[in-house]
Amino acid sequence: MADTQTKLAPDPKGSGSGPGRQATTFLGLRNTLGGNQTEIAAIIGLGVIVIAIWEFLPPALGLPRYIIPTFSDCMAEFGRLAAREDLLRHFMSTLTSALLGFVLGGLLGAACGYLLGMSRLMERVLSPYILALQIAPKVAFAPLFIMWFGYNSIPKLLVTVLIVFFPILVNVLQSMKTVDRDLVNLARVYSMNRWTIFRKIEVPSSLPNLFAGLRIGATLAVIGVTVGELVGGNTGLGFLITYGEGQANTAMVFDAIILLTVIGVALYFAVAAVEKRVLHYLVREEH
Amino acid sequence: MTSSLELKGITKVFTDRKTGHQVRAVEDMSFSVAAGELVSVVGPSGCGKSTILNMVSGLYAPTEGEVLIDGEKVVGTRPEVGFMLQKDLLLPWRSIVKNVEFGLEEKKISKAERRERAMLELERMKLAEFADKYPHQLSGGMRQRAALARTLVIEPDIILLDEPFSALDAQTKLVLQRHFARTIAEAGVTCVLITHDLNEAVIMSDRVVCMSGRPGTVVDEFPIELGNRTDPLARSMESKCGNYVKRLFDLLHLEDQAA
Repeated sequence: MADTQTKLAPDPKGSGSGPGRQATTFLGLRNTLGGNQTEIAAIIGLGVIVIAIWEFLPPALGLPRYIIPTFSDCMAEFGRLAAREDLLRHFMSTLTSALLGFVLGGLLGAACGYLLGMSRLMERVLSPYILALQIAPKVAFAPLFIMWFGYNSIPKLLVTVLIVFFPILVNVLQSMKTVDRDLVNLARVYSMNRWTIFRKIEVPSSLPNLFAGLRIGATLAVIGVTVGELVGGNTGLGFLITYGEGQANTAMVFDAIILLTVIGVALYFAVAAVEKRVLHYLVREEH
Repeated sequence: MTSSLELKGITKVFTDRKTGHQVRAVEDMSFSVAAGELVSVVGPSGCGKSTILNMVSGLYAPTEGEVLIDGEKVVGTRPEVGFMLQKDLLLPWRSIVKNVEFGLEEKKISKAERRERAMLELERMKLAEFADKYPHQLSGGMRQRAALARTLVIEPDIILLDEPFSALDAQTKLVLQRHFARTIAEAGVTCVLITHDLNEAVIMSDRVVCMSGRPGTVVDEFPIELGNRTDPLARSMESKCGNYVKRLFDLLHLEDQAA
Protein backbone atom coordinates (compact mmCIF):
# COMPACT_ATOMS: atom_id res chain seq x y z
CA MET A 1 0.00 0.00 0.00
CA ALA A 2 2.68 2.41 1.07
CA ASP A 3 4.84 1.75 -1.94
CA THR A 4 1.93 1.96 -4.32
CA GLN A 5 1.32 5.46 -3.08
CA THR A 6 4.86 6.61 -3.62
CA LYS A 7 4.43 5.66 -7.26
CA LEU A 8 1.47 8.02 -7.39
CA ALA A 9 3.45 10.98 -6.18
CA PRO A 10 4.68 13.15 -9.05
CA ASP A 11 8.15 13.40 -7.61
CA PRO A 12 9.69 10.09 -6.54
CA LYS A 13 12.73 11.88 -5.10
CA GLY A 14 10.37 13.51 -2.64
CA SER A 15 12.40 16.69 -2.29
CA GLY A 16 9.77 19.31 -2.82
CA SER A 17 10.12 22.66 -1.16
CA GLY A 18 10.95 26.24 -2.05
CA PRO A 19 11.76 26.96 -5.68
CA GLY A 20 11.50 23.25 -6.51
CA ARG A 21 7.83 23.17 -5.69
CA GLN A 22 7.17 26.28 -7.76
CA ALA A 23 8.82 24.60 -10.72
CA THR A 24 6.44 21.66 -10.35
CA THR A 25 3.46 23.91 -10.63
CA PHE A 26 4.84 25.67 -13.65
CA LEU A 27 3.82 23.24 -16.42
CA GLY A 28 5.71 20.38 -14.85
CA LEU A 29 8.92 22.09 -15.88
CA ARG A 30 10.67 20.75 -12.89
CA ASN A 31 10.90 17.20 -14.18
CA THR A 32 12.60 18.43 -17.31
CA LEU A 33 14.85 20.91 -15.62
CA GLY A 34 15.89 18.38 -13.03
CA GLY A 35 14.90 17.44 -9.55
CA ASN A 36 16.51 19.27 -6.67
CA GLN A 37 17.53 22.75 -5.78
CA THR A 38 21.22 22.28 -6.45
CA GLU A 39 20.48 21.26 -10.02
CA ILE A 40 18.19 24.22 -10.52
CA ALA A 41 20.82 26.55 -9.08
CA ALA A 42 23.39 25.03 -11.48
CA ILE A 43 21.06 25.51 -14.44
CA ILE A 44 20.43 29.15 -13.57
CA GLY A 45 24.13 29.69 -12.85
CA LEU A 46 25.09 28.33 -16.27
CA GLY A 47 22.59 30.67 -17.89
CA VAL A 48 24.11 33.65 -16.09
CA ILE A 49 27.61 32.64 -17.20
CA VAL A 50 26.55 32.26 -20.84
CA ILE A 51 24.87 35.67 -20.78
CA ALA A 52 27.97 37.20 -19.19
CA ILE A 53 30.21 35.75 -21.90
CA TRP A 54 27.77 36.95 -24.55
CA GLU A 55 27.84 40.42 -23.02
CA PHE A 56 31.58 40.88 -22.58
CA LEU A 57 33.41 38.56 -24.99
CA PRO A 58 32.38 40.02 -28.39
CA PRO A 59 33.41 43.61 -27.48
CA ALA A 60 36.64 42.26 -25.99
CA LEU A 61 37.39 40.53 -29.29
CA GLY A 62 36.48 43.70 -31.14
CA LEU A 63 33.48 42.18 -32.91
CA PRO A 64 31.16 44.92 -34.14
CA ARG A 65 27.51 44.85 -33.02
CA TYR A 66 26.23 44.19 -36.54
CA ILE A 67 28.03 40.84 -36.36
CA ILE A 68 27.27 39.89 -32.75
CA PRO A 69 25.18 42.32 -30.73
CA THR A 70 25.69 41.94 -26.99
CA PHE A 71 23.04 40.83 -24.54
CA SER A 72 22.31 44.42 -23.54
CA ASP A 73 22.09 45.45 -27.21
CA CYS A 74 19.44 42.81 -27.72
CA MET A 75 17.53 43.90 -24.64
CA ALA A 76 17.65 47.51 -25.80
CA GLU A 77 16.45 46.40 -29.21
CA PHE A 78 13.51 44.65 -27.53
CA GLY A 79 12.54 48.00 -26.04
CA ARG A 80 12.87 49.78 -29.37
CA LEU A 81 10.90 47.07 -31.20
CA ALA A 82 8.11 47.22 -28.66
CA ALA A 83 7.90 51.00 -28.87
CA ARG A 84 8.52 51.62 -32.56
CA GLU A 85 7.90 48.44 -34.56
CA ASP A 86 4.76 47.10 -32.93
CA LEU A 87 6.59 44.01 -31.62
CA LEU A 88 3.48 42.80 -29.79
CA ARG A 89 1.50 42.61 -33.03
CA HIS A 90 4.25 40.59 -34.75
CA PHE A 91 4.60 38.31 -31.75
CA MET A 92 0.87 37.70 -31.48
CA SER A 93 0.58 37.06 -35.20
CA THR A 94 3.25 34.36 -35.05
CA LEU A 95 1.87 32.92 -31.83
CA THR A 96 -1.69 32.70 -33.18
CA SER A 97 -0.56 31.14 -36.44
CA ALA A 98 1.60 28.60 -34.61
CA LEU A 99 -1.22 27.71 -32.22
CA LEU A 100 -3.91 27.57 -34.87
CA GLY A 101 -1.70 25.61 -37.26
CA PHE A 102 -0.74 23.22 -34.50
CA VAL A 103 -4.35 22.63 -33.46
CA LEU A 104 -5.63 22.23 -37.03
CA GLY A 105 -2.69 20.06 -38.11
CA GLY A 106 -3.06 17.99 -34.96
CA LEU A 107 -6.79 17.47 -35.42
CA LEU A 108 -6.44 16.60 -39.08
CA GLY A 109 -3.45 14.34 -38.48
CA ALA A 110 -5.16 12.49 -35.65
CA ALA A 111 -8.43 12.16 -37.58
CA CYS A 112 -6.66 10.77 -40.65
CA GLY A 113 -4.54 8.49 -38.47
CA TYR A 114 -7.59 6.98 -36.81
CA LEU A 115 -9.45 6.71 -40.10
CA LEU A 116 -6.58 4.90 -41.81
CA GLY A 117 -6.10 2.78 -38.72
CA MET A 118 -9.72 1.61 -38.93
CA SER A 119 -9.37 0.43 -42.51
CA ARG A 120 -6.56 -1.84 -43.54
CA LEU A 121 -7.44 -1.42 -47.21
CA MET A 122 -7.31 2.37 -47.10
CA GLU A 123 -4.03 2.25 -45.27
CA ARG A 124 -2.49 -0.11 -47.84
CA VAL A 125 -3.64 1.99 -50.77
CA LEU A 126 -2.66 5.34 -49.30
CA SER A 127 0.53 4.50 -47.44
CA PRO A 128 2.94 4.92 -50.42
CA TYR A 129 1.53 8.39 -51.05
CA ILE A 130 1.65 9.29 -47.41
CA LEU A 131 5.26 8.19 -47.31
CA ALA A 132 6.08 10.34 -50.34
CA LEU A 133 4.35 13.38 -48.88
CA GLN A 134 5.98 12.76 -45.55
CA ILE A 135 9.44 12.79 -47.13
CA ALA A 136 8.74 15.84 -49.29
CA PRO A 137 10.14 18.90 -47.49
CA LYS A 138 7.01 20.68 -46.33
CA VAL A 139 8.68 24.07 -46.00
CA ALA A 140 9.36 24.00 -49.74
CA PHE A 141 5.63 24.37 -50.26
CA ALA A 142 5.68 27.85 -48.75
CA PRO A 143 6.40 29.80 -51.99
CA LEU A 144 3.72 27.75 -53.71
CA PHE A 145 1.14 28.68 -51.12
CA ILE A 146 2.10 32.33 -51.48
CA MET A 147 1.58 32.10 -55.24
CA TRP A 148 -1.84 30.61 -54.61
CA PHE A 149 -3.10 32.64 -51.68
CA GLY A 150 -1.06 35.84 -51.72
CA TYR A 151 0.84 37.74 -49.09
CA ASN A 152 -1.41 37.14 -46.13
CA SER A 153 -1.55 34.82 -43.14
CA ILE A 154 -2.98 31.84 -45.02
CA PRO A 155 0.29 30.52 -46.53
CA LYS A 156 2.11 30.40 -43.21
CA LEU A 157 -0.87 28.75 -41.59
CA LEU A 158 -0.97 26.12 -44.35
CA VAL A 159 2.74 25.36 -44.05
CA THR A 160 2.28 24.93 -40.32
CA VAL A 161 -0.72 22.65 -40.70
CA LEU A 162 1.14 20.57 -43.27
CA ILE A 163 4.29 20.21 -41.20
CA VAL A 164 2.40 19.34 -38.01
CA PHE A 165 0.06 16.93 -39.79
CA PHE A 166 2.43 14.11 -40.67
CA PRO A 167 4.20 13.18 -37.45
CA ILE A 168 0.82 13.04 -35.73
CA LEU A 169 -0.77 11.00 -38.50
CA VAL A 170 2.11 8.53 -38.53
CA ASN A 171 2.16 8.17 -34.75
CA VAL A 172 -1.56 7.60 -34.47
CA LEU A 173 -1.58 5.14 -37.36
CA GLN A 174 1.30 3.24 -35.82
CA SER A 175 -0.50 3.00 -32.50
CA MET A 176 -3.69 1.77 -34.15
CA LYS A 177 -1.70 -1.04 -35.72
CA THR A 178 -0.14 -2.09 -32.45
CA VAL A 179 -3.23 -2.15 -30.23
CA ASP A 180 -3.14 -5.26 -28.04
CA ARG A 181 -5.21 -7.85 -29.93
CA ASP A 182 -6.12 -9.58 -26.69
CA LEU A 183 -7.73 -6.41 -25.37
CA VAL A 184 -9.76 -6.15 -28.56
CA ASN A 185 -10.74 -9.81 -28.22
CA LEU A 186 -11.78 -9.25 -24.63
CA ALA A 187 -14.05 -6.42 -25.75
CA ARG A 188 -15.42 -8.66 -28.51
CA VAL A 189 -16.20 -11.40 -26.02
CA TYR A 190 -18.14 -8.77 -24.08
CA SER A 191 -20.12 -8.21 -27.30
CA MET A 192 -18.85 -4.70 -27.94
CA ASN A 193 -19.26 -3.42 -31.47
CA ARG A 194 -16.61 -1.88 -33.70
CA TRP A 195 -17.34 1.68 -32.63
CA THR A 196 -17.35 0.85 -28.93
CA ILE A 197 -14.06 -1.00 -29.28
CA PHE A 198 -12.64 2.05 -31.05
CA ARG A 199 -13.79 4.36 -28.28
CA LYS A 200 -13.00 2.19 -25.29
CA ILE A 201 -9.88 0.31 -26.40
CA GLU A 202 -8.21 1.77 -29.46
CA VAL A 203 -8.38 5.48 -28.71
CA PRO A 204 -7.14 5.20 -25.12
CA SER A 205 -4.41 2.77 -26.25
CA SER A 206 -3.25 5.26 -28.85
CA LEU A 207 -2.97 8.24 -26.51
CA PRO A 208 0.72 7.82 -25.60
CA ASN A 209 1.60 7.76 -29.30
CA LEU A 210 -0.72 10.65 -30.06
CA PHE A 211 1.04 12.75 -27.44
CA ALA A 212 4.45 11.78 -28.74
CA GLY A 213 3.28 13.05 -32.13
CA LEU A 214 1.85 16.22 -30.62
CA ARG A 215 5.13 16.97 -28.88
CA ILE A 216 7.02 16.68 -32.16
CA GLY A 217 4.28 18.73 -33.82
CA ALA A 218 4.61 21.49 -31.22
CA THR A 219 8.26 22.07 -32.11
CA LEU A 220 7.61 21.77 -35.84
CA ALA A 221 4.75 24.28 -35.71
CA VAL A 222 7.19 27.10 -34.97
CA ILE A 223 9.37 26.07 -37.90
CA GLY A 224 6.34 26.06 -40.18
CA VAL A 225 5.25 29.55 -39.18
CA THR A 226 8.78 30.94 -39.36
CA VAL A 227 9.36 29.64 -42.87
CA GLY A 228 5.97 30.93 -43.98
CA GLU A 229 6.84 34.37 -42.63
CA LEU A 230 10.37 34.37 -43.99
CA VAL A 231 9.21 33.64 -47.49
CA GLY A 232 6.48 36.21 -47.66
CA GLY A 233 4.31 38.53 -45.68
CA ASN A 234 4.74 41.65 -43.64
CA THR A 235 3.88 40.49 -40.17
CA GLY A 236 5.28 38.07 -37.67
CA LEU A 237 8.62 37.30 -36.11
CA GLY A 238 9.81 35.59 -39.29
CA PHE A 239 9.17 38.83 -41.14
CA LEU A 240 11.17 40.73 -38.48
CA ILE A 241 14.10 38.43 -39.25
CA THR A 242 14.13 39.37 -42.94
CA TYR A 243 13.37 42.98 -42.09
CA GLY A 244 16.23 43.12 -39.59
CA GLU A 245 18.52 41.42 -42.08
CA GLY A 246 17.73 44.08 -44.67
CA GLN A 247 18.65 46.81 -42.23
CA ALA A 248 21.73 45.00 -40.97
CA ASN A 249 20.03 45.14 -37.57
CA THR A 250 21.46 41.94 -36.13
CA ALA A 251 19.94 42.57 -32.70
CA MET A 252 16.48 42.51 -34.28
CA VAL A 253 17.23 39.13 -35.85
CA PHE A 254 18.51 37.83 -32.52
CA ASP A 255 15.40 39.06 -30.73
CA ALA A 256 13.06 37.47 -33.24
CA ILE A 257 14.89 34.15 -32.89
CA ILE A 258 14.67 34.39 -29.09
CA LEU A 259 10.92 35.03 -29.20
CA LEU A 260 10.34 32.21 -31.70
CA THR A 261 12.17 29.89 -29.35
CA VAL A 262 10.04 31.10 -26.46
CA ILE A 263 6.88 30.28 -28.43
CA GLY A 264 8.21 26.81 -29.31
CA VAL A 265 9.21 26.05 -25.74
CA ALA A 266 5.87 27.26 -24.37
CA LEU A 267 3.95 25.16 -26.87
CA TYR A 268 6.05 22.10 -26.11
CA PHE A 269 5.61 22.40 -22.37
CA ALA A 270 1.91 23.07 -22.72
CA VAL A 271 1.58 19.77 -24.60
CA ALA A 272 3.80 18.00 -22.07
CA ALA A 273 1.67 19.34 -19.20
CA VAL A 274 -1.57 18.15 -20.80
CA GLU A 275 0.07 14.82 -21.54
CA LYS A 276 1.14 14.40 -17.96
CA ARG A 277 -2.38 15.03 -16.79
CA VAL A 278 -4.06 12.76 -19.33
CA LEU A 279 -1.55 9.91 -19.12
CA HIS A 280 -1.26 10.01 -15.33
CA TYR A 281 -1.76 6.23 -15.24
CA LEU A 282 1.52 5.48 -16.95
CA VAL A 283 4.46 4.70 -14.75
CA ARG A 284 7.17 7.04 -15.87
CA GLU A 285 10.88 6.70 -15.62
CA GLU A 286 12.80 9.78 -14.64
CA HIS A 287 14.45 11.17 -17.73
CA MET B 1 -27.03 -20.21 -14.66
CA THR B 2 -24.14 -22.57 -15.19
CA SER B 3 -23.78 -24.37 -18.50
CA SER B 4 -22.35 -27.52 -19.98
CA LEU B 5 -19.84 -27.41 -22.77
CA GLU B 6 -19.20 -29.89 -25.51
CA LEU B 7 -16.60 -29.95 -28.27
CA LYS B 8 -17.49 -32.32 -31.11
CA GLY B 9 -14.86 -33.33 -33.65
CA ILE B 10 -13.18 -29.95 -33.73
CA THR B 11 -10.54 -29.33 -36.39
CA LYS B 12 -8.98 -25.94 -36.88
CA VAL B 13 -6.78 -25.13 -39.87
CA PHE B 14 -5.02 -21.78 -40.11
CA THR B 15 -4.05 -20.57 -43.55
CA ASP B 16 -1.18 -18.13 -43.89
CA ARG B 17 -2.52 -15.20 -45.88
CA LYS B 18 0.67 -14.59 -47.84
CA THR B 19 2.12 -18.03 -48.47
CA GLY B 20 -1.14 -20.00 -48.44
CA HIS B 21 0.65 -22.43 -46.16
CA GLN B 22 -1.77 -24.37 -43.96
CA VAL B 23 -1.27 -25.25 -40.35
CA ARG B 24 -3.49 -27.77 -38.60
CA ALA B 25 -3.64 -26.49 -35.03
CA VAL B 26 -6.25 -28.89 -33.72
CA GLU B 27 -7.37 -32.20 -35.24
CA ASP B 28 -10.64 -34.00 -34.55
CA MET B 29 -10.79 -32.98 -30.94
CA SER B 30 -13.69 -33.92 -28.68
CA PHE B 31 -14.33 -33.54 -24.99
CA SER B 32 -17.09 -32.28 -22.77
CA VAL B 33 -17.42 -30.39 -19.53
CA ALA B 34 -20.45 -30.91 -17.32
CA ALA B 35 -22.24 -27.98 -15.70
CA GLY B 36 -20.27 -26.77 -12.70
CA GLU B 37 -17.29 -28.92 -13.53
CA LEU B 38 -13.69 -27.66 -13.69
CA VAL B 39 -11.71 -29.36 -16.43
CA SER B 40 -8.04 -28.72 -17.09
CA VAL B 41 -6.52 -29.05 -20.53
CA VAL B 42 -2.82 -29.84 -20.61
CA GLY B 43 -0.51 -30.44 -23.51
CA PRO B 44 2.86 -29.57 -25.00
CA SER B 45 3.38 -25.98 -26.06
CA GLY B 46 1.93 -25.12 -29.45
CA CYS B 47 -0.67 -27.90 -29.29
CA GLY B 48 -3.53 -25.51 -29.87
CA LYS B 49 -4.75 -25.12 -26.29
CA SER B 50 -5.44 -21.44 -26.72
CA THR B 51 -7.05 -22.10 -30.10
CA ILE B 52 -9.65 -24.18 -28.31
CA LEU B 53 -10.46 -21.38 -25.90
CA ASN B 54 -10.83 -18.90 -28.73
CA MET B 55 -13.28 -21.22 -30.47
CA VAL B 56 -15.28 -21.80 -27.30
CA SER B 57 -15.47 -18.04 -26.69
CA GLY B 58 -16.66 -17.64 -30.27
CA LEU B 59 -13.80 -15.44 -31.45
CA TYR B 60 -13.41 -17.71 -34.45
CA ALA B 61 -15.20 -20.77 -35.74
CA PRO B 62 -13.69 -24.24 -36.06
CA THR B 63 -12.90 -25.42 -39.60
CA GLU B 64 -14.77 -28.64 -38.89
CA GLY B 65 -16.90 -29.81 -36.01
CA GLU B 66 -18.87 -27.73 -33.57
CA VAL B 67 -18.77 -26.25 -30.10
CA LEU B 68 -21.96 -26.65 -28.09
CA ILE B 69 -22.90 -24.72 -25.00
CA ASP B 70 -25.95 -26.22 -23.31
CA GLY B 71 -26.49 -28.14 -26.54
CA GLU B 72 -26.55 -24.97 -28.61
CA LYS B 73 -24.01 -24.36 -31.32
CA VAL B 74 -21.64 -21.44 -30.71
CA VAL B 75 -21.76 -19.09 -33.69
CA GLY B 76 -20.22 -15.92 -32.28
CA THR B 77 -19.05 -14.27 -29.12
CA ARG B 78 -21.55 -14.36 -26.31
CA PRO B 79 -21.57 -12.32 -23.14
CA GLU B 80 -22.18 -15.37 -20.94
CA VAL B 81 -18.61 -16.52 -21.49
CA GLY B 82 -15.89 -15.18 -19.20
CA PHE B 83 -12.36 -15.06 -20.45
CA MET B 84 -9.06 -14.78 -18.63
CA LEU B 85 -5.51 -14.91 -19.93
CA GLN B 86 -2.02 -14.99 -18.52
CA LYS B 87 -2.03 -11.25 -19.08
CA ASP B 88 -4.52 -9.58 -16.77
CA LEU B 89 -5.91 -7.48 -19.66
CA LEU B 90 -6.76 -4.67 -17.28
CA LEU B 91 -7.08 -1.35 -19.06
CA PRO B 92 -4.24 0.78 -17.68
CA TRP B 93 -6.22 4.01 -18.12
CA ARG B 94 -9.09 2.82 -15.95
CA SER B 95 -9.22 2.51 -12.19
CA ILE B 96 -9.73 -0.99 -10.82
CA VAL B 97 -13.45 -0.56 -10.21
CA LYS B 98 -13.92 0.88 -13.71
CA ASN B 99 -12.04 -2.11 -15.07
CA VAL B 100 -14.41 -4.45 -13.29
CA GLU B 101 -17.33 -2.49 -14.69
CA PHE B 102 -15.97 -2.89 -18.22
CA GLY B 103 -17.77 -6.16 -18.90
CA LEU B 104 -21.05 -4.78 -17.59
CA GLU B 105 -21.08 -1.77 -19.87
CA GLU B 106 -22.82 -3.58 -22.70
CA LYS B 107 -25.55 -4.78 -20.37
CA LYS B 108 -28.63 -2.68 -19.96
CA ILE B 109 -28.23 -1.80 -16.33
CA SER B 110 -27.98 1.54 -14.57
CA LYS B 111 -24.69 3.16 -13.68
CA ALA B 112 -25.45 2.81 -9.99
CA GLU B 113 -26.15 -0.90 -10.29
CA ARG B 114 -23.01 -1.40 -12.33
CA ARG B 115 -20.93 0.27 -9.63
CA GLU B 116 -22.70 -1.70 -6.92
CA ARG B 117 -22.07 -5.06 -8.58
CA ALA B 118 -18.45 -4.19 -9.30
CA MET B 119 -17.84 -3.13 -5.71
CA LEU B 120 -19.48 -6.29 -4.41
CA GLU B 121 -17.20 -8.39 -6.59
CA LEU B 122 -14.15 -6.42 -5.45
CA GLU B 123 -15.13 -7.01 -1.84
CA ARG B 124 -15.26 -10.72 -2.50
CA MET B 125 -11.78 -10.49 -3.99
CA LYS B 126 -10.64 -8.43 -0.97
CA LEU B 127 -9.77 -5.59 -3.29
CA ALA B 128 -12.40 -3.06 -2.23
CA GLU B 129 -9.85 -0.66 -0.79
CA PHE B 130 -8.01 -0.63 -4.12
CA ALA B 131 -11.09 0.22 -6.16
CA ASP B 132 -9.83 3.67 -7.10
CA LYS B 133 -6.23 2.66 -7.75
CA TYR B 134 -4.88 2.09 -11.22
CA PRO B 135 -3.56 -1.28 -12.43
CA HIS B 136 0.10 -0.23 -12.32
CA GLN B 137 -0.27 0.47 -8.60
CA LEU B 138 -1.20 -3.15 -7.85
CA SER B 139 0.96 -6.27 -7.60
CA GLY B 140 0.69 -9.03 -10.21
CA GLY B 141 -1.41 -11.22 -7.94
CA MET B 142 -3.78 -8.38 -7.12
CA ARG B 143 -4.14 -7.51 -10.79
CA GLN B 144 -5.04 -11.11 -11.60
CA ARG B 145 -7.62 -11.05 -8.81
CA ALA B 146 -9.07 -7.86 -10.26
CA ALA B 147 -9.20 -9.62 -13.63
CA LEU B 148 -11.12 -12.48 -12.00
CA ALA B 149 -13.51 -9.94 -10.49
CA ARG B 150 -14.06 -8.47 -13.96
CA THR B 151 -14.65 -11.99 -15.31
CA LEU B 152 -17.10 -13.02 -12.58
CA VAL B 153 -19.04 -9.77 -12.31
CA ILE B 154 -20.86 -10.52 -15.56
CA GLU B 155 -22.10 -13.75 -13.92
CA PRO B 156 -20.81 -15.95 -16.72
CA ASP B 157 -22.09 -19.46 -17.38
CA ILE B 158 -18.66 -20.63 -18.38
CA ILE B 159 -15.24 -19.25 -17.66
CA LEU B 160 -12.20 -19.93 -19.74
CA LEU B 161 -8.86 -19.59 -18.01
CA ASP B 162 -5.78 -19.55 -20.23
CA GLU B 163 -2.77 -20.03 -17.97
CA PRO B 164 -3.91 -17.34 -15.54
CA PHE B 165 -1.23 -18.13 -12.97
CA SER B 166 1.79 -18.69 -15.17
CA ALA B 167 3.19 -15.15 -14.91
CA LEU B 168 3.12 -15.12 -11.11
CA ASP B 169 5.82 -15.97 -8.59
CA ALA B 170 5.53 -19.33 -6.81
CA GLN B 171 4.03 -18.04 -3.56
CA THR B 172 1.51 -15.70 -5.15
CA LYS B 173 0.56 -18.56 -7.40
CA LEU B 174 -0.29 -20.84 -4.46
CA VAL B 175 -2.36 -18.18 -2.75
CA LEU B 176 -4.15 -17.26 -5.92
CA GLN B 177 -4.86 -20.86 -6.91
CA ARG B 178 -6.64 -21.39 -3.62
CA HIS B 179 -8.48 -18.11 -3.95
CA PHE B 180 -9.59 -18.93 -7.49
CA ALA B 181 -10.59 -22.48 -6.51
CA ARG B 182 -12.84 -21.16 -3.75
CA THR B 183 -14.34 -18.32 -5.71
CA ILE B 184 -15.07 -20.46 -8.74
CA ALA B 185 -16.60 -23.24 -6.62
CA GLU B 186 -18.74 -20.68 -4.77
CA ALA B 187 -19.98 -19.26 -8.04
CA GLY B 188 -20.64 -22.85 -9.17
CA VAL B 189 -19.55 -21.90 -12.64
CA THR B 190 -18.33 -24.27 -15.34
CA CYS B 191 -14.66 -23.75 -15.97
CA VAL B 192 -11.99 -24.75 -18.48
CA LEU B 193 -8.44 -24.21 -17.28
CA ILE B 194 -5.68 -24.31 -19.85
CA THR B 195 -2.31 -24.88 -18.28
CA HIS B 196 1.13 -26.34 -18.90
CA ASP B 197 1.67 -26.82 -15.17
CA LEU B 198 0.81 -30.49 -14.58
CA ASN B 199 0.64 -30.10 -10.82
CA GLU B 200 -1.75 -27.18 -11.20
CA ALA B 201 -3.95 -29.22 -13.53
CA VAL B 202 -4.19 -31.99 -10.97
CA ILE B 203 -4.83 -29.92 -7.85
CA MET B 204 -7.31 -27.50 -9.40
CA SER B 205 -9.65 -29.69 -11.40
CA ASP B 206 -12.32 -32.37 -11.41
CA ARG B 207 -11.00 -33.87 -14.62
CA VAL B 208 -7.95 -33.49 -16.85
CA VAL B 209 -7.87 -33.62 -20.64
CA CYS B 210 -4.45 -34.35 -22.07
CA MET B 211 -3.57 -33.24 -25.59
CA SER B 212 -0.93 -34.36 -28.05
CA GLY B 213 1.50 -32.08 -29.86
CA ARG B 214 0.45 -30.25 -33.04
CA PRO B 215 -2.01 -30.97 -34.51
CA GLY B 216 -3.56 -31.19 -31.06
CA THR B 217 -5.99 -33.94 -30.25
CA VAL B 218 -7.14 -35.64 -27.06
CA VAL B 219 -4.83 -38.49 -26.09
CA ASP B 220 -6.35 -39.18 -22.70
CA GLU B 221 -8.75 -37.82 -20.14
CA PHE B 222 -9.37 -38.94 -16.61
CA PRO B 223 -11.11 -37.72 -13.46
CA ILE B 224 -9.07 -36.52 -10.51
CA GLU B 225 -10.30 -38.31 -7.42
CA LEU B 226 -8.80 -36.19 -4.71
CA GLY B 227 -10.48 -34.30 -1.89
CA ASN B 228 -12.43 -31.09 -2.14
CA ARG B 229 -11.18 -29.01 -5.02
CA THR B 230 -11.64 -25.77 -3.06
CA ASP B 231 -8.36 -26.52 -1.29
CA PRO B 232 -5.69 -27.15 -3.91
CA LEU B 233 -2.88 -27.01 -1.36
CA ALA B 234 -4.38 -29.84 0.73
CA ARG B 235 -4.92 -31.83 -2.46
CA SER B 236 -1.30 -31.43 -3.43
CA MET B 237 -0.32 -33.07 -0.11
CA GLU B 238 -2.30 -36.22 -0.90
CA SER B 239 -0.20 -39.17 -2.01
CA LYS B 240 -2.43 -39.88 -5.02
CA CYS B 241 -1.67 -36.43 -6.36
CA GLY B 242 1.84 -37.45 -7.36
CA ASN B 243 0.50 -40.44 -9.26
CA TYR B 244 -1.75 -38.22 -11.36
CA VAL B 245 1.11 -35.87 -12.12
CA LYS B 246 3.31 -38.83 -13.05
CA ARG B 247 0.58 -40.15 -15.33
CA LEU B 248 0.40 -36.83 -17.16
CA PHE B 249 4.16 -36.63 -17.26
CA ASP B 250 4.31 -40.02 -18.98
CA LEU B 251 1.44 -39.20 -21.34
CA LEU B 252 3.26 -36.12 -22.58
CA HIS B 253 6.51 -38.08 -23.07
CA LEU B 254 8.30 -35.44 -21.11
CA GLU B 255 11.04 -37.88 -20.18
CA ASP B 256 12.08 -38.26 -23.81
CA GLN B 257 12.16 -34.52 -24.27
CA ALA B 258 14.31 -33.91 -21.23
CA ALA B 259 17.42 -34.96 -23.16
